[in-house]
This record gives sequence, C-alpha cells and structure tokens, in this order.
Amino acid sequence: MIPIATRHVDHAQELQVHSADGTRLHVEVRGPADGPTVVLSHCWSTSLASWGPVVRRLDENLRVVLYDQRGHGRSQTPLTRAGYGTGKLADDLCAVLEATVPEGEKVLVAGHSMGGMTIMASAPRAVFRDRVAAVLLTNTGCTDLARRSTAIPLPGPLGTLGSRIFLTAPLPLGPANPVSARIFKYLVMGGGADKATRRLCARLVHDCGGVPRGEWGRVLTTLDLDDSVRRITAPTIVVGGTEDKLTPLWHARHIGDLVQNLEEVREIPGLGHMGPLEAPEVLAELVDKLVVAHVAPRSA
Amino acid sequence: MTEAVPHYRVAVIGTGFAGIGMAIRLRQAGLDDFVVLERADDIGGTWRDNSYPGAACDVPSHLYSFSFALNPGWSRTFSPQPEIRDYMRRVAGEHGIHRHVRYGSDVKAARWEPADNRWRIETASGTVTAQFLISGAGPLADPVLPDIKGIDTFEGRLFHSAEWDHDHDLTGRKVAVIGTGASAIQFVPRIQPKVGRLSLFQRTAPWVMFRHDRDITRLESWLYRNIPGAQQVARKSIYWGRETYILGFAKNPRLLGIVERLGRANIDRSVKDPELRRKLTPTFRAGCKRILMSNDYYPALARPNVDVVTDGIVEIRPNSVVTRDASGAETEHEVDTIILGTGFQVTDPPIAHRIHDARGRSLAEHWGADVQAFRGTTVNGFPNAFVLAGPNTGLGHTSQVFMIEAQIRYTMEALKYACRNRVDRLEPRAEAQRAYNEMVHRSMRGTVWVTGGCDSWYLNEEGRNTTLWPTFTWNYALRTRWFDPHNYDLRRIRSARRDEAAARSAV
Repeated sequence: MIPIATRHVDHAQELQVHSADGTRLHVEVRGPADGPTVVLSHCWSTSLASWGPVVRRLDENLRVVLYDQRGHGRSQTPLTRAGYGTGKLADDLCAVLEATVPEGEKVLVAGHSMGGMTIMASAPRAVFRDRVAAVLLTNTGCTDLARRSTAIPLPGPLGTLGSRIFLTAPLPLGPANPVSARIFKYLVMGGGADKATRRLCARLVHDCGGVPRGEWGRVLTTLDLDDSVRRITAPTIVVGGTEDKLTPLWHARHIGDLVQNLEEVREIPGLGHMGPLEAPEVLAELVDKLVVAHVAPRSA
Repeated sequence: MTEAVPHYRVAVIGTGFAGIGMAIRLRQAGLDDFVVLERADDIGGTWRDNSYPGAACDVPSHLYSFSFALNPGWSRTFSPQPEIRDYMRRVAGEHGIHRHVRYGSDVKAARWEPADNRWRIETASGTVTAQFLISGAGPLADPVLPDIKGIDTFEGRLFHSAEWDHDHDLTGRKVAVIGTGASAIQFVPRIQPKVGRLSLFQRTAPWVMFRHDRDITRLESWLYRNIPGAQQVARKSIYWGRETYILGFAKNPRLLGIVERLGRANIDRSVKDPELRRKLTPTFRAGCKRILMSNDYYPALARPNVDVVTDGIVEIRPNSVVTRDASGAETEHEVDTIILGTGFQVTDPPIAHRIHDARGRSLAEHWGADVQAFRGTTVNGFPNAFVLAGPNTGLGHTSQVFMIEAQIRYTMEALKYACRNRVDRLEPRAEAQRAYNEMVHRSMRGTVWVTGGCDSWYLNEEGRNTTLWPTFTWNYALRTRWFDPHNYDLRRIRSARRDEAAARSAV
C-alpha cells in the first residue's frame, strides 16, 4: 500500500469498520481528536492515499477521516457482483460516519469522482442528514458518465462505447511502466500536471485490482443519481476542471443546478480529472473555508 | 379470522449454504416475497455451529464455495471454519439476505393444507404460511448423542464437538474423546498438547490421508484479483481432479488399493509403535467410510499422553468410562471431560419428523428406513416442497456446495415453470420417483460404499446407501439442469377459484 505523508502522521489511527453488509473497511483518522472533522472519500481505482496532497495542506487542527472504498486499498473486495453499487457506496460512507463521528457532531464530507458519487448517493440517508454540515464535490458526476466523457476521441456513440469499454474492462495492468503512465496522463490529468503527480497517480491506479476496478466501472456506466443529488441540503461547493475528460465541466454545472444549497461552482482552468493530486492547494483552501463557515466546532 | 398469519410465496428453512444460496437465487430472479427461517440468531448453519478447535473443510476452498461468489482472499487451500463462516456472512450480506431472515425461528412443524394450497409452518417465533416450502436444513445439522449406559450420570463436563464448550479449559484435564470421524481427527491434534491425558475411544479406525494444506501465495491472490477467470481455472481443475476419485469409489474399487497404500504409509511415517500401528490400520476398503485428511492426527496419537482404546464402551460412570475387551475383562478409564465426536443424524434427519403431509403423516414416517426423493429434491405426497441436500445428494469426494447449487437451480426452474404456466401445485409422480430411485440404487451396486465391508453414516438400517450420490457429480448437475413437468402432477387451483368468483359476479 502507498503510505500517505501528512504533517500529523504520528496521530494516524487505523480502524476497521464493518459496513452494513459486513464488508470490512480500512479507515484512518488523523489529526487532533477534538478538532472539527472532515471525511474524505476517494475516487475510482485509487485509494485513500489519493487525498494525501490535500491532507498535507489542510489546517493542522482539523480531524481528518479517510477510508478506502470497498475493492480498493486495504478494504475488503466484495465477493459477488451484488456487493457493488451506489447503494453499497452509501452504506460504506454511512458506516464510516457512524463509526467515526460522535452523535450530534456535524462534519464536512468531501468526495472526489466516485467519492463524490458516494456522497451524492448517501444524501437521502438519515445518518448523512444528521451529521453532514457541508459538502465538497470535486471532479464528479451524477448521471450520463459514459455519454458525456470526452476521454475517447471518437464521434458520438463510438466515443460512448469506447468510454464504456474503458470503464468496465477488468484489464490487468501489471507493474507500473512508462506506457501506462502516459495513458493515464492523457486520460485523467490536465496539461499542467508535473512528473511526480503523474507518477503517484499511476502507482495508485496500478495498486487497484483489475476485477474490482472493472466491477466499479460497470456501476459508473449505469450511474443515475439525479434524484438523490436534489436531496443534498447542506451548503455545497462543486469543483470542476476545464481539462477533465472523464467528468467534463458539464457535470459540475449540472450538479450545481440540482443541489438545494449551492455556494459555488468553482471551475479550475487546466485541471484534469485528479483534483486532489493536481490542485490540492485549491481543494485544501475550499475545505478550510467550508469548515470555518459551516462545521461548528465541538460544543466543549 | 383470528390473528393475521404472515403469508409468503416461499419459505426457506435454514441459513447454511443451501438456505443462503436459495435466498440469493430467489432475489436474483426477482422473487422478494419469501422468508428464511433460522433457529439460531446468526446465519451460517453447520459452519456456524461447528466451531471446535481445528475445524476446517476437507475440500479445497476454491471449490467449496458458491460458483457465483469466488473468494480470491482465502488464506489456505483448505480454509478454517471462521473464514468459511465469514465468507457466508459476507455473501449473504452483499445480497441483503438478512432482511428476509427470521431468527430464533426453529421450525416445530410444517403441515400441508390442501384446501388453501399452502404450507402452515409453526416456528418457535410464531406461525407463517407459504405456498412453497424449501428445506435447507441439511444432514449435518443435529448432533448424535450416543446411547451409552450411564451417560446421564457423568459428573464431569460432557459436550458434542458441534456444541463445543469454549469456556471449558482443557489444560491438564483427563479427557475422553469418543469417535474418530471427520470432526475428531481435526480437534484431537489441537487439544492433545493441552490436555493432561487423552483417551481416544475408537470403534473403527478411519483411513487418514496426507493433506496438502498450505497458505495461498500472494502471487495466486494477485492473479485471482487481477486476471478475470484465473480463479475459475483453479476451481475447475480442482473439480475435475476430485471427480476422478469416482473412478475408484464407484467404478472400480480395486483402484482404492493405491489409496490404502498411501494411508498405510501415512501411519508408518508417524507411528513407530507396532501395537498402535495395528490399532490404527483400518480393516475395510478405503473410501467405504469417508476418507479423512490430516497431517497431524497420527503424530498426535503417537504422543505419550494419548491412549487409543479400541475396546467397546459398556458404561459411563460419574468419573470414568468403562470398556470391555474381547475376553470380557472390564477396564475403567478415569476422565473428567468427555468430548463426543459422534457425528450427526444423517440417515434420520430431524427435519423429516417435522414436515407433514395433508393427512398429518410426517416425512420420516412416510419414508421409514427408505429415505428417498425424486432427483434428491421433491417427494411424492409432499406437494410444493423441496428438500435441499436431500436423499442421495451427499458426497464423499468433492464439494457439497456443487450439489446444493444444482438442487437450487432445479428448484428455481420448477418455481419459474410454475409461475410462467400459472401452476399452483406441483408434486412428483410416484412412479417417476420409484424409477429414479431404482436407477440410483442400480448405480450404487458395486460401489465401495456398499461393498467395502464397513458400517458408515452413509448407510441406513438396511444397509442401503440413502445418503450419497453414486456417480459423477456432473451427471447429477445435468439431470437437474431443467425442470421436467412430465414427471409431476401439476394443478391449477387459483384459476378454479377465479372461475367461481367470475361466476358469482356474473349472478
């Protein structure tokens, strides 16, 4: 597993949380126990380490909860197809919230790509409504993923089909190599990404099993969370990148139209799909801003 | 109308591999109107109850699992019980089976009500009714407690391996183990280093083979996780490898001479004492009783604190077990703990005493000693009932889950047929059942289970094998691939009622 470097790495506390169906999730809690809490949900085929650059830049007084989505990182991989689905993503986030957020406390949840879909899918849950004070969504979408994607430069339905194949193929990647790094750079990164960022991204993706990656990809191609997004009542900031080929800006604006309490749709020029790796400063700043504005400090 | 009794389309008994598998298939077919009745407060069946030290499966895990839920994360080739139980919990959890389970619902009696075309099922948590009854109660569900004189008077701790007392510390105790079956050979090596003195009471020595148990390497796990189909290849190779055992068991028992040579080599390797070797060497053909697998059983028996007793037990006294040898001399073995490794009520399953036909006759009475069903699943006289892991569907050589899944498929095909054709009642014809069972018993002739010269839990009182499937398992899977309406009496009840209603409304 790829370790994540943060300033308060000493405080990292590892937990095993069981989701509603018994799947074991790997959770890491960092920072002071009494700080305002931020829960971060990572994207498809990486792990909680993809939030590393953001966590490193966050206010040191924040308590940061990170977890590996099922099938990723150190969490268990579902045994059957029934173990994958947006309902399961929501189950997992709610289980993590219940296990790490004390009753009565409100938190900020931030999600990147599939992590954002996790948040959107959880919106109707009681646990979510009770504990979430603010939402940050970056590089994510809630519907029509394959059709809107511009990753495969083919016209119309061919491009959609291409994206669909790219998402669902359980292709084994083998060890990280320059060819795959180039492919990832083209698919998920904006033009400005530096070499270290590209390498980290490739390592993260290579670390994810091919079979769970394909299964999650299948879930993504059939995603439709519009109704659920309409039920997000907490103040929300949506971030999109102008060079994002997997979830183009259309998605950010679409989500912005649906949520009930939109603060801002931030469009970042030159940003590809990997917000937490490519633009950690901006995301850290937005997290801090939302926390200061909406996450009440503990009533101690 | 008194209290409202909940009615379901389907009621499933048990949450072992059969019950969970059935529930998952029902959900996948879009049939949500079902209930799963579980006597305990957790799922898992046999794999929940048998938590004795060393409990593990003697079929490789890649094969001993659901075909639709391969687990790349098995830690060993022969996985231990906690891992199998967790696996079952996770598979059930992912499919949301828990929502359908009524815990604490031990089935007391189920009765067919022809007038209402439904089963009335009385459970420990109240009555339910259902149009279809599927029993996944399984043969290894209820332990056998041997009928030994004075067993009630024993003053120490006495328990069955399937109801292991984990709070009872065995350190330094004088322990008697009765039975040398599949459970005993797994827990004896685990408790031997702890106990002060272990007396193993053996009626018949089993054949014990070397077990190629090892950790699953990280490379293998990586392959299973990353290469689609890699685990299927592993699974299928194990399946076909195991299937060749049938050539010895059923087709030509003389081939089992090779197995016996391996078994003797296994004894000779670990046991040097000629007297003990003689006691441990079986006198019947290998395979007649279940062939057991263990690497540490014989070495454990060779330890100085173990005493293998082959004389018959005549009596249990408050602080001892008394045996009598061939000359009639009695020996008293002083013990403070007795562990029964005496197996399960296989040929006379308790669930058969609780399922009754329209006239109130139980399935057990209906069967007598001759337990039989059509395709191992349905029984004439018991409409709309399916028995998973039923008569002649057991196995001695490969994964029981394979047979269970074949039965589940057959049951699903029958239910689908009934739904599509609006059939309300299906019951196998008596002559089809008879012909089927004649076929089974014809194939049983010449197999090691009936010719091997032993008495085993496979055989009923008349010495007929009513437990095992006598030939290749793919043969059974093919027979249960499709539903065969020509072998059934099919009736439509509701349409008649509908006609009545139509006639009434016309008047």
